[in-house]
Order: sequence, then C-alpha cells, then structure tokens
Amino acid sequence: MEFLISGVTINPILLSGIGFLVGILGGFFGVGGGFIAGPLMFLTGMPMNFVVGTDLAHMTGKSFVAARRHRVLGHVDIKLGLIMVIGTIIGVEAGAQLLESLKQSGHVDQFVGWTYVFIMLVIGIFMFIESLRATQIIRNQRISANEAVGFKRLSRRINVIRIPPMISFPVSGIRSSLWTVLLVGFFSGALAGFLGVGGGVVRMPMLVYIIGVPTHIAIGTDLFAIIFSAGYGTFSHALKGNVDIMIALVMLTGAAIGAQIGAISTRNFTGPHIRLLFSFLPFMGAILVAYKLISGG
Amino acid sequence: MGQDNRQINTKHIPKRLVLNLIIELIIYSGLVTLYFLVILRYLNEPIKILFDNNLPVYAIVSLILIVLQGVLLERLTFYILNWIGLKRFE
Repeated sequence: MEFLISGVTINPILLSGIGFLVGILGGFFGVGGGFIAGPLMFLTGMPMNFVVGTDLAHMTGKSFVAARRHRVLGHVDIKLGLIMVIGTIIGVEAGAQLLESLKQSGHVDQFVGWTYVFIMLVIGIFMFIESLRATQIIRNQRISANEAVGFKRLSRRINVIRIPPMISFPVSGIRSSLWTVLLVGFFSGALAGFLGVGGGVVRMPMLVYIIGVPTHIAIGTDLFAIIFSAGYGTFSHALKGNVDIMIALVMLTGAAIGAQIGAISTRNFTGPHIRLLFSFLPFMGAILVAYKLISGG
Repeated sequence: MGQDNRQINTKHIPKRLVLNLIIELIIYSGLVTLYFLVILRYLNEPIKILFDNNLPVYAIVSLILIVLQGVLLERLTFYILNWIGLKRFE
C-alpha cells in the first residue's frame, strides 16, 4: 500500500503486525513501546522524522484501547493519572528545552544516547533484583502478592515526606503529597522530552516504587497518562509535518487487538511477576540504543 | 471430588482461551482487511491534500481520527470478545 504523506510503500499487514506486537507489550506492561516500534518502523523504510511522530500517533490510539480495557478491570486511577499528566507535559517541554540548549555544544547524540543506556540499565537492574526479592518474600512469608515489594523501605521513606496538600487516591488505596505525584510526572516527562522516548518505561516503575501504587493499577494509570502525553506529542509533531496518520491508523488495527490481549493477560500474573518480566524491557531498550551508538547507525 | 473437578476445569481454561483467541483473531483479521480495502484506500488522497494545504487542520483531524478509530476498534473487539465468550475467562 502506498502512503502518500510520507511517500513510502509498505505492506499494511507488516505494519499491523508491528502494531500487534507493540500492542501486547503496551497492554501488559503499561508502556508506549516506542523503543521497539521506532526501530521496527525505521526498518520498513520510513523516514526518521515520520517514525517519531507516527509512532506517537499510533501510541495515542493504542493507549486509549488498552486503558479502556484496564478501566473495565478496575486498574485505572483517573485522579492520579490526570495530576501526573500536568507534571508530565511540563516535564516534556523542560526536557526538550534542555536538549535544544545541549545541541549547541555538539556531541549531543552521544551524550543523550549513553544517558539513555545508563538510565535504562539502572531501572532494569533495580527492578530485576527487587522483583526477585518480592517473589521470595511471597514464597517465604506467605503474604499477599500485592503487599510484596522487595525494597519497601524506599517508598516508605518517600511517603514520610508529607508536603501539603496531601491527596487521597481511593482506587490505588494510597495517600500522597500532590508534589510527589507532580514530580514523578515531571521527571518522567523530562526524560521523555530529553531522550525522545515515551515516559512509560520510567513512569510505571516510579508509580510502584515512589508513590506506592499496586502494579496492576500502575500499568492502567500509566496507559491513561500516555493517552494525553502521546496525544500532545502527536499534535505537536503533526503541526511540524512529521505524522503520517494513515500509517498510524493501519498500525492501530493490529495494536488494538494486541493491547486488549496484553491487558487481559495481566489478570493471570501477580505484581512481582509482571515487574520481573518488565525488568527485561529497559535492557532491550538499552541494547538497541547502545548498538546504534557503537555502530554509528 | 469437587477439587478434582475444579482442577480439570482450570486445566482446560488455557486451551479454551487460546482457541477463542485464535477465533477472535480470524474474525478480526477479516474485518480489518475489509477496512483496509474500503475505508483507508479512499481516505488516503483527501488526507494527503489536507496535509499539503493546511497543517493545523491536519493535526486536529489526525488526533480525532486516531481516537475515533481507537473507540471503534475497542467496541468491535469487545463485541467479538463477548460473542465468542472469551470475556468469561478474564
């Protein structure tokens, strides 16, 4: 099929297949999946500027489908998601500004790339060790999987910081400072704006470890937040002529079903098991970017 | 005995789940192919004209289209899910 906007000819079944794969990952882990979809879309022959904008557009639709499914399952904290979105959008702008100022000093690609690799490795190693400890706690102490967090001291210490206003989140069953939620949104947004990736892979772990949200609700709430952050990104990139909406619509046909399968599958896994599987995603992202930096591609 | 029955039932759920998923994927693929042929084919050119002539309107239309398709596909898959009884296994 010929896509007139980006001027490329791609088999729609291939695009739908990429969407399906990324949809399963998104629905199951609560991430946009840009770090996998991006390189795959580039391999199909799409120009790089269209890869970024079109991926954000398909992510908006896919997150909408997955978040609706998670909402049916009771996994979305809308109040928490909306507050976080405010911080995320401010963060995206701050990250993009930082990137622009660094561009003037040169070697920005290498600096941004290796920062990305470092952050992804830290997240991956931390989550891997934590989720292994949590599964051991469940086995040894026979406590509920929802209560088992390998490094519980971390979220306890952060929750000691009670800067008003304090807000209750009944869906998540937690009470947190407004500033903590805004900061989590801001930090993940800033990384997204600076590193050029969706913030989901950073935000989901932060929701669990810093705010103390149960894993399943963190996934659904993160997807809810991605609708707005990716939607904002889509609009911004479309204004610059970087979105081929026809490609995004084709990808969404596969992503919609994949996202539902991913979301439904979370019901068969406990929080620590999802986190253990999740820990491999940052490693994959880090390997892909490190390979690109070393090979100069 | 009751426990045995339960074990047999839960053992059969993944098999049934996979089978239902395959049925859903086949029905869905057929509908999506129809969608490629009928809608996307005719939408390609008007969207390109909009992209070339008015980017702000194109940006708004893009967002509306992606969300609208998201809603429609979510409804469609939910309907198929119910129809083939997969929802019972959620």
